[in-house]
Amino acid sequence: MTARALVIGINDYPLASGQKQLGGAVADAIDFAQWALEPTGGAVTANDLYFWIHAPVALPPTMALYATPDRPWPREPKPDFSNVPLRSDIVRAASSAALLAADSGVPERLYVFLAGHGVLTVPPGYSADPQSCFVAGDFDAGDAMGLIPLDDLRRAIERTGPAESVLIFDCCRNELPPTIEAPSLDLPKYSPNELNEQWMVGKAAQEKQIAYETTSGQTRGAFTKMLVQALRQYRVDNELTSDALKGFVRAGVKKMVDPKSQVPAITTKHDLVPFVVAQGPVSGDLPELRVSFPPEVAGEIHLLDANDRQLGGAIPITDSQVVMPLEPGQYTFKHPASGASISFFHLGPEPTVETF
Amino acid sequence: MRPSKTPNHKTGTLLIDGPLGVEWLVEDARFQSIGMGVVPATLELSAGLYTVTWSAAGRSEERLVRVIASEEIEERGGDFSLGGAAPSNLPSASKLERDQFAAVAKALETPSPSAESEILVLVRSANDRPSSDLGRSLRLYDHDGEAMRSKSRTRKSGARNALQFAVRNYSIPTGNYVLRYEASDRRTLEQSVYAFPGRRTIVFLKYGTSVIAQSAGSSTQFRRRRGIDPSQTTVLSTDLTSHPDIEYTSRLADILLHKLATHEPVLESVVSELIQESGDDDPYIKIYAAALLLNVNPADEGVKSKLERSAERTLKFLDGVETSCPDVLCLKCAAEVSLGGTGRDWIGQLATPPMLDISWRWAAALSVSVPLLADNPIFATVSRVTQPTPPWLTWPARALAYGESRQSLLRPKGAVDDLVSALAEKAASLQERSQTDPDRPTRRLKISSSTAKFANAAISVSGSRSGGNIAQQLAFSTGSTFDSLTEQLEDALSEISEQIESND
Repeated sequence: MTARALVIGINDYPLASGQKQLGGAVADAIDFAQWALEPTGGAVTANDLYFWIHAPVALPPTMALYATPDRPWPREPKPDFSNVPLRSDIVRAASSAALLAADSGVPERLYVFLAGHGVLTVPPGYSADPQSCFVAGDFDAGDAMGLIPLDDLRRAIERTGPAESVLIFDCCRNELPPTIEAPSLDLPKYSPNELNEQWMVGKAAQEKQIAYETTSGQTRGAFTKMLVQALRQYRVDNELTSDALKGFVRAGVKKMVDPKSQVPAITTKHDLVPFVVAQGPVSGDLPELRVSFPPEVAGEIHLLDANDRQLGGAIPITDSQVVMPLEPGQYTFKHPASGASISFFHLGPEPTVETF
Repeated sequence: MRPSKTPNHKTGTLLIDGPLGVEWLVEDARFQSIGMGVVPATLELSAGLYTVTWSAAGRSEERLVRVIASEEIEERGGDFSLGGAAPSNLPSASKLERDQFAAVAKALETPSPSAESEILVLVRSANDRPSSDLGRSLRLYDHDGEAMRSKSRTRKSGARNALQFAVRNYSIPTGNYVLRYEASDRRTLEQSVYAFPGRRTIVFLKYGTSVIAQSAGSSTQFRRRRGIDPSQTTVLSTDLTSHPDIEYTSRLADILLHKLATHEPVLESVVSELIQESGDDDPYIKIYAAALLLNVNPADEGVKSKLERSAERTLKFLDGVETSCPDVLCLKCAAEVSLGGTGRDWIGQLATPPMLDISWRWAAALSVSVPLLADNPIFATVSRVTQPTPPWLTWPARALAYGESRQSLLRPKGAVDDLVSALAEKAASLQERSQTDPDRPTRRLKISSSTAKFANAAISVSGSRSGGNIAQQLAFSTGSTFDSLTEQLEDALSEISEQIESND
């Protein structure tokens, strides 16, 4: 299946929006875009990635093309990193991407990734659900301009096509006062063909919750950091389904933001039909596991997998620690001499540090 | 080293335990759910690693657990503070919260054998550092609108009130009362509170912070405002003559109220088990359990059979509880009608608004076929609420009582159906007109929240395939009684029509 992607990351918002600067949205967008361009990742070709970040930063070599005026993407609006993308820019780009995917004549997957500020608009009464919205550069809280309703966006893309869509929104879902009405989405409501077979939506947090940034190493959104880690390195029977992705990201975000609380929300169109989000070999260096042992725990240690089966031979404890690269998963270290054990999540991308 | 793919054939036993009402979920190492329920539970599992999650009232705790072949392990969790209005004395609660709990226990120490009923209102802050007396805006009124006088007050404020806590104690006759307070979004709200005979009703209010958008020249600023968060209130009751342990009951109340507010799916067996195991005589707990079972849209044909089963259980829960309590009246009437009754015994019996949002919406839906409501102008005010605060029913303070209530024994449904269709059509047309080419600016719709509420509801009801009575669906989804529906639909239709004309 071919794929295309729309990736937006906004750190710097205009003063009039009342939104504080972010530290990790641009880095998140770059990370996701890099995965999308990997042949064993999202398999999006260079011309099919629409990429816009603000404010501009130095891009990795694999993405340097996107910082030049000759950046690929056949349609308007052309990204301009020196300006913050407005609501109309993002909505038009999403609509354009969905139409291209639907008209291509082959089954396609569309990735939409938005990282920045987000809010939750609460309509009056009981009939309409609250709507998570992405905050674009022209946000004005006085009359709700500059908000992109994300549930409506998902529906609009679903109606237009393509066959599969994966929408990732790394933004908060703070509730706005009810005096701010829900925005409308300026896209055609009707489509002659409804081609979509499956979609997945990933939101960084539950309703009314905050999506946190982590400052361990480079500032990043906790949700995207774990999401891309899963896409790159977590496989069950050689594939990553939406269910496995949900559990992995939930566990990883929890560990990352502890003692704060953030629970991602990942949903799919069909609960009972597994949606394979990624498959094939893992990429990148395996995350490191570092376990330190008290003096009384010496000699050798056994590593058990999640099925309580020993992996490989006994591992010597050297200088009261064991350090090793290891595939993400759940493991137990058991000290055969004493029978003591510890169990832990090893998810990456940062090293896992445990104490026996 | 590659992890093994097949499960271990050797099994072990996992015992999951926790406080009453806590739910558990077990996932395997692939994050696949393999079981869920209410504690306690005993599971036979293949040896390996599992994630156990304990959850209650929106809070959760997760732990990685190793099941060892031929061994039995016990894991207890869920002993966390629920963070609601009622303070907790658990070790996991903050010191401030535990000190507040001690203050509440002290306030409840003195039994009042001579009083017919009592209402105790307790306001606490979870370290929002209030700058003035937390109880300053509290008022309690009887059904005649007369203000009740509190027996006790906390000292005034600020730095000296290190406990961030206020109490008001009212000895009053049995019956229905209205509590008024300033909410965290600067609105002054009212809600009903019922005082049962021989019982002390305890109202826990939580003082919090919310963000208000305010115009500041050409831009908008978000300002933090402090006040009571109406959605976090906990209400329970204890016997007047005893020294109650409220930790247990308040925890159960918080779990049930959270499910009511969030419309979490809940098994009838789970609710029954909770009530049975708690052995609680508190009529409030019974009301919450009954409300949970009826927490569905009565106009939805798809839930009819479920509703019939739930209705029987509801009547059992409410057996013996005073029907002068408006919630009991609404829920009993709802249960009887769901079982095929006419509800005629309840005509004109609802004198005051109920406490729970779901009770009111049932009353509104029932009002389509049964003139349940007595003459009280407050019903018109409640029918116009646009900012619900589930699980509670609140409304703007009564100084702006809106119009007169009208009771009619005639129930011409056709008029409402026609208005709903017309409103849905016009509202959809207005939305279409406001959709522009993405290259041109969007026109802003300038309609009131009340019109928006009815427009959304009309579109939703018109497009619904659930069948059922349209007027009843609309009444339930908007919280407007039948007598208010026609007027509000006409108002909404008029405003939408004006918008269409002004856009032309």
